[in-house]
This record gives sequence, structure tokens and C-alpha cells, in this order.
Amino acid sequence: MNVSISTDTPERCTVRVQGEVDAYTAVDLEKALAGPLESKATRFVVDLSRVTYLSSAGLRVLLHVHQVLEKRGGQARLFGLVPPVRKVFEMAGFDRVLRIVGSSEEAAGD
Amino acid sequence: MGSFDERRVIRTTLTLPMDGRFLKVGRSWVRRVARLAKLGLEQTEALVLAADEAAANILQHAFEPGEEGQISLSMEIGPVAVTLVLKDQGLPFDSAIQPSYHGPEDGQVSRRGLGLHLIRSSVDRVQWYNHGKEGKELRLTMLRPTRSIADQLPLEELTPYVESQSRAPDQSYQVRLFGTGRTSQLRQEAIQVARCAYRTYGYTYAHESLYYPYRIIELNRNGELISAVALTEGDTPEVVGHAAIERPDQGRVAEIGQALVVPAHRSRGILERLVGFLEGVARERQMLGLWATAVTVHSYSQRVTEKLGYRASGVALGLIPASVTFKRFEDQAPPHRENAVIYFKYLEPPPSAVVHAPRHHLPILEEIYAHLGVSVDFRQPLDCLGPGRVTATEIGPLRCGLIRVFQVGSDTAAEIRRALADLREIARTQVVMLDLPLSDPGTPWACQEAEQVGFFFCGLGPHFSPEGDVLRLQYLDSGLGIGDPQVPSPFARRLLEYVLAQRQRVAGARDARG
Repeated sequence: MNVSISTDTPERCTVRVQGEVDAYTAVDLEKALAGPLESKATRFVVDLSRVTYLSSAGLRVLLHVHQVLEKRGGQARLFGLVPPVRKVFEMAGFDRVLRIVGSSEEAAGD
Repeated sequence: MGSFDERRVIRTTLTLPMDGRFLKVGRSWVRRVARLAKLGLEQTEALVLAADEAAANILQHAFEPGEEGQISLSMEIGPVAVTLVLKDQGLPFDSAIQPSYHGPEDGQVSRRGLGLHLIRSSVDRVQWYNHGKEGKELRLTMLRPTRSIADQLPLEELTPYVESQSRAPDQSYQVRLFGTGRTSQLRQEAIQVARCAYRTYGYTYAHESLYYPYRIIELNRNGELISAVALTEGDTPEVVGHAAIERPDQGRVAEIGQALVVPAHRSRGILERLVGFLEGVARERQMLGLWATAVTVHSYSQRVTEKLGYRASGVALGLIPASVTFKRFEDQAPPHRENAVIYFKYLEPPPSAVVHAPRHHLPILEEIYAHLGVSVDFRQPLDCLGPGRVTATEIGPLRCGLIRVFQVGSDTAAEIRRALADLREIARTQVVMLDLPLSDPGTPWACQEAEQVGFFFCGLGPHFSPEGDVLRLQYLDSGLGIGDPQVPSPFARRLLEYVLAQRQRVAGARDARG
């Protein structure tokens, strides 16, 4: 699993995740996001288009990001979910809580 | 190379070390085997997710940090289902540590709660076995997709039977084993059975396999089901009745049920012939007895069951899920789980029994044994030393839990509590049955311990265990209503009153303890 994070503006960063997010690799995802979460960024654009598998461990990391940002009036927007990954979100009810959008433009937009 | 449509179960196993890096190896293996087994893409990914969540759960909770261990994954590929089995020899699960999963809205998401939720949501059936010191086993079953009768026939051929429809002309009927007519008619016969079930029960019958012609064929082929059918005579015989013995564990006793007769052909002794025929088949296979359940929302099935020579041995509150309705009695449809009288019939002279009965249940057990015609040697309880053996599983179609104690030991009380918590947490069962071996001198103590956590008397299970008769206790979630049971038969009524009194006694004792 690989994570790359770019700071687009002081308020917005883009997180690109690639590979499989399971109980083992979710730890690395969490570590990678720790720094940006401590910054002043209020918008995370999360590109999951190259995530081929995501388990409950990955969901928890994303929920934590959502909760931190929401507290400071911000938001995480996820896009690019492949069908098996989207299904996991739906089974867990996370599609009702996390903001899942249809494109990178929508994720980055206002 | 053979196709996986062949009528046999193929097994394959992978062993993984307790190392998170190998989770992806397990996923790849499950994915490849599932695809080889011809599961579709969605089912494959669901099984992969369930396997991964279960394996991660074991990694997280089953071993102490730094402790070495292994997880064994096996897949059983059969014509009806694909089952993934995970085994480990780590710590027993302690679901008391983790809260239940309630969705992300409440802001608190436990890893284990969410993982278990995803496991339950991904597969068709979850069975959970605690083997005490020998470890744990989790069985996740994915039923092969097959078309139900509602997908195979047009709606106009599936209209509900009308009770008042005109009677069929007087005629003779043939009763035989399902599928023993002409080979070319096997599929058609299965379709007719499924159609009868749908027209009789709608889509609400708890035993869903009856709606799937392919499953009826395969379950009969592998012996889990022994179906008998009643047919009209003539060149194009038509199925007008069905009953079956369910024998998933091939034990000496089994359940007889799944009975239905097309209304136009009722009151002609077809049901009696079907049951008599199956009893004959059971005797040929050296089965000791058959048990049956009859709901209490009405008294019809109880009367029929007793007329066929079955005798009440217990009352299970809340056994039948609320989704089961009875088309003839829709105006009495219950808003909650429904109760059932448990009946039993010996197919050969009953052997005498050695029984270690809890003192406070001794009188009722004496009555039940006398009612069943069994001579009993009641013995004193003894202290139980050494480890016991307990398994817990979910009864799929009725959404009940079942805890079976095969041997009472000093750890049995803790194992029962843990199994109960697991069934309520993992399988979300509202009703749990507990079977204690009456031949075991430790059963009186185990009963006492179980009653302290809320189990209460259900009845006697004759030879429900390989060890012999069981004392069946039951647990109901608090607040689960039981409605107004209709139980006309005097002895069944006696059992119902005893069960209700015991439920009250146990609840009162727990409240008093605080």
C-alpha cells in the first residue's frame, strides 16, 4: 500500500492511496495522515481510485480523518471508489457519514 | 480436470503465520479458490472480506503480543455452498471487551464491532465453535447462487392457494422418496415442491431451501434432507404433498417437518402417509427417533403432531422468527418471535437412561420421561474436575443460537457465558438454546451456573447429543414478547406453565442479585 500526500493550498491537501488497505497496512495510512491532520488544512481530497481492497481498518482511519476535520469545520471528500470498496462502505453504513463524490473535480471544488 | 459441479465436497487448506503481512496472502488464496469454485465476482469479494476481517480479528485478539501461532484457513467446495473455515488455537474470544457495532453515526466505532458486522453482512451463515483449550473454529458459508422458484416461474403460476378452493376429485396417491421417480423428472419434481411451498407459505417459510429447486435436489442427494413427496397417479403425476427429515449432522435423531399438502387434496390422510413413510425410512437407517416443533400461534399443528404419536418434551419460547407467517391464520399473525412445543417420537423401544438431573428440575423431568415412556436411573451429581468441551453455533434458518456442552468441566460455566456473549454479539441472536448432557454428573452444577446468567428450562432433548439425552435450557433477550400461546393439550400446557414459571423464577433471582 502506498500513500502520497500533496499540499494544494494551506487549507486543502490531496491524499492518494494505492493498493490494499487492511489491518496491517492501515497503520501506515494512519501514520501518513497524522502530520496533515495536525496542520491547519480543513479539506482533504482523498483519491481512492487505485485502492483495490479496503477493510474495516481502513474505514476506521477514514472515519477518524472525517471526525478531526469536522471538528474544525472542515471535510474529507472521497472519490474513485471501485465497486468492491464502495460495497464495504455501504455495508458499514459509512456512505451515509463520509462524503463520497463522483470525481476529483467535485472533491476539490467548493 | 473435474468441474466443481460434481456431487462431492472438495477441501483445500492454507496455513498462515500470525503475521499481518500475510493477510494479503490469505486474501489472494481465498479469492483464487472462490473463483475456481465458480463463485461470482460479488460473492468472491464478500468472502474475501469476511475471511480477512476474521483473520485480522484473530491476529488482533487471539494471541498475546509476541506469542507465536498459526491460522488455518480451509475451504470446502460443494454443490450447494462454499464454506470457509478459520481455525486457531489462541485465546477464546471475549466479546465483553468490545462494544457492539451500531454504525458510524454515533461516532464510536470499535474495530472488532465493525469487523464482526462486516463478516455477518458478507456471508449467508456464520457458525462459531469454541473448542475450549483446543482453540476456536469459525465457519463462514456462502450459498451458491441459484434461482428460487419465484425466479423460475411466472407469477400467475405462483398465486397463493385458496383455502376454499374446490376439492380435487377422489383419487389415489403415491407416496415415495423425492427424486426416485424417473430421472428425467427430477428437476420438475423439485420445481413442483418449491412451487407448493411458495403457494402455501408465500416467501415467509423459515427453511428457505424449500424455495430453491436446485438446493432441494442437492440436499437430498447429500443426505442432509430426506424428502418424501405425495403425487397424484397417472402418466403425469403432480406433487401434492411434501415432508422431510432434516439431518445435517447425520445423527441418530433428527427433525421431521417441512410438511405441506395442497389444499385441494387435504383431509385425505396424505400428511399421515408422508410422515409414516418417513418414519419407515428413518427406521431403515437405524435412527432412534424424530422430533418436531409445532407453533403455538394456533393449535392445528400441535393436534396433528400429537395425533401422529409424537409426545411433548419441551416448550421453546421465541423459537420461530417473526418473519414466518401462517397464511391460514394471517389475522393472528404475531408481531414478535413465536413459540413452539417440541415433540418427540421413538422409532424403537427407548433405551433406559442414566440421568443426573438438577434437583429443582427433577420432578418435571420425571414427568417428561414418564410421558415419553422411558425408564430412568436418576443419579446424584458429582463435582466436575478438568476441562470441559463446549461448542456454540448459530441455527441458520431460525436465527437462534445453540450452545452444546459435550462434557462438563470446571471451565464450563465461563465457556457458556462466553459462548452466549459471542452468539449475541457476533450472530445477533435474540434466542439461544443450551444443551447440557444429562448423562454427565456435572450437569446439575452447569445448569445452576447457566441459570445465573439468565438461561431457564426449555425441556428434554432425547438423544439430541451423541452423549445421549440433553437438558435443554433457553435464553431470551429481555423484552422479547411471547404473545399468547395456544396450547390445548394438557401435558404440553403443563410444560408451558412450568417454562413460564421458570423464566419468572430465573429473572427474579437475577434481579434480586442486582
